[in-house]
Amino acid sequence: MSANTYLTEQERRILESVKVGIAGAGGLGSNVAMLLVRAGLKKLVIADFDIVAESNLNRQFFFRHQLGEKKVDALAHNLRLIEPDLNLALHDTQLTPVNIDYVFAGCQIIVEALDSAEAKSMLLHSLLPLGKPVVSAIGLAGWGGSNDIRTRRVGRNLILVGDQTRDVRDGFAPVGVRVSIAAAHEANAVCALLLGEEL
Amino acid sequence: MKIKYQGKETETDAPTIAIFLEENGVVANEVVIELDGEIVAADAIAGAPLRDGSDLNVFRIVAGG
Repeated sequence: MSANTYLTEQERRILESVKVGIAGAGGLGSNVAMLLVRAGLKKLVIADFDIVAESNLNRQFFFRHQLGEKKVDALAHNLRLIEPDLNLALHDTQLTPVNIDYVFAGCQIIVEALDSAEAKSMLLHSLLPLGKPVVSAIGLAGWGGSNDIRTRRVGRNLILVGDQTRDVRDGFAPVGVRVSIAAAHEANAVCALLLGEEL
Repeated sequence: MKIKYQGKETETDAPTIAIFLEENGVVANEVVIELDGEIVAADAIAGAPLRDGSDLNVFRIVAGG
């Protein structure tokens, strides 16, 4: 059974066999995970150390009754409401240069879905030298500017989404209407890479 | 020498990426650097030479997610 009844047999085989890592289960990661499950992926590794807070409900794939729950557990529950037959590895932990290789070992693609610039930088500098594709979203806050969010290839193995400009530290709020655009770019890039389509 | 920086032709005498970024006010620990189609690791920029015709792109890492 697949959440996506539109898949060809070949697409289904590919999407169900790969394991994708998602670093962060917030505005980007929870929506990327939701979209990838709807696309037909079955195997995800999800890492986040946070709990669901009221300020998350403007953009993240959680519900009010889940406030206070661990994000990885709440997300796994919500993903299984879409597709019960999932292979999810959940890591309720903060990613560091020491554990990040271990957490995402065995993943063909890793999605950067963190929020702080420090954490994003840590992930990119830790994982890019390994050579696996990394899909990262940088610059997604504020209202409007839909077409400023782009997907581009940087170097051999970085797929960079976002406007690379709007920083929440400069007063741009993370709002769901725009964060979701970036999350959809990330999820679409993952599917394009896996299916051999253009980004 | 002339390099391409963020897609635009730029004149510089900076011998390395690190010096070029410093001269252009770029904080090197919150960026991704692409030189001639390859990502340059953060700890390698001090020794990464710029040459005439180099194609340098710097992507700021901003917060939000």
